[in-house]
Amino acid sequence: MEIELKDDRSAEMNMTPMIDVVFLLIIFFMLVTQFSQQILEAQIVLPIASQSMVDDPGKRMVINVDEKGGYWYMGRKYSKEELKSRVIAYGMRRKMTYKGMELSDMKVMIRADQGTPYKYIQNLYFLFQEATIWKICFATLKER
Amino acid sequence: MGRRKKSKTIAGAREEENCELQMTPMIDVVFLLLIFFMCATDFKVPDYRVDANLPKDKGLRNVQVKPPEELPEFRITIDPVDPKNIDDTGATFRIGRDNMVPYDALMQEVAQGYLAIKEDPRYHGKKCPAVIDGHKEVDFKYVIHAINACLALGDQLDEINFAPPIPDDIRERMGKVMSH
Repeated sequence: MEIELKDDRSAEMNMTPMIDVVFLLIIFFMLVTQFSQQILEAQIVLPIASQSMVDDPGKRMVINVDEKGGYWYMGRKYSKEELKSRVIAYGMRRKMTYKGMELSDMKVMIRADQGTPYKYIQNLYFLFQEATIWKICFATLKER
Repeated sequence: MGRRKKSKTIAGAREEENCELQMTPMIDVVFLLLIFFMCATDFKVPDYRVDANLPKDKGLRNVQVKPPEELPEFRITIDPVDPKNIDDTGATFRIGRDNMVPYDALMQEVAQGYLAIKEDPRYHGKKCPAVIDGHKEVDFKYVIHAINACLALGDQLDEINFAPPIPDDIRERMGKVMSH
């Protein structure tokens, strides 16, 4: 009896891991979009400074100040008094996370619109001094 | 959408038909979605920064008053538009007491003025802060412009300080004194 063996197995690529990765990428981009909106806030146009240096995002608090002097932190608008308690709470959290870190080691970045009246920035100086925060920096754009 | 697949068969055996899900259109759609989100995302322009530390003094009680001539100070005053303003920008820059400086020339004037103080033998070896005294109503970009002019001094700059806000009536009196 003649036995015929046909080996027509086709080599197919397993698409499942690729789809997993692609879905992960989609979710990543969706989340990144949302976070960037939360931090950037309402269309703040930063001032330009030719001497500015590349920012090192990380262990610092970012406070946005819009053109009308509104203080924004993580997507919420705060009054000056509320912001002070948020700043201190943030500092305390960092102090607990990083042992040996003091509130005075904390750095705050002010992202203010180029058209914001200076008095709203001066208010922040007083707020930071009351909270014993000395290290501040201003977000700018690099002159091209 | 089935796809006929022949498995290893013995001649005469019945062919099996497997029903498999066709993944290709789904992958197409997923890639389209991916490209859509990539295009729809506003890519963030990287932030740069200028550093400026606040003074640590707690108040007048801790300040030892010295005669003015012993304390070198380089002051940049930024006021709202002055009728006598020499250019069309939204702020008036002054260096020292009454030296009005055009917006575009600020960096150059700061370099000259600051280095003149540093080279003054009276202030030899003393720290000379560049004090930025902004009026409460000026736009923030003009303050950054002044900070930027100071930072252009590089290593020669000792430190940047910010003057506390001055009440309007006092500032007005100071302006009159300066103009005389």
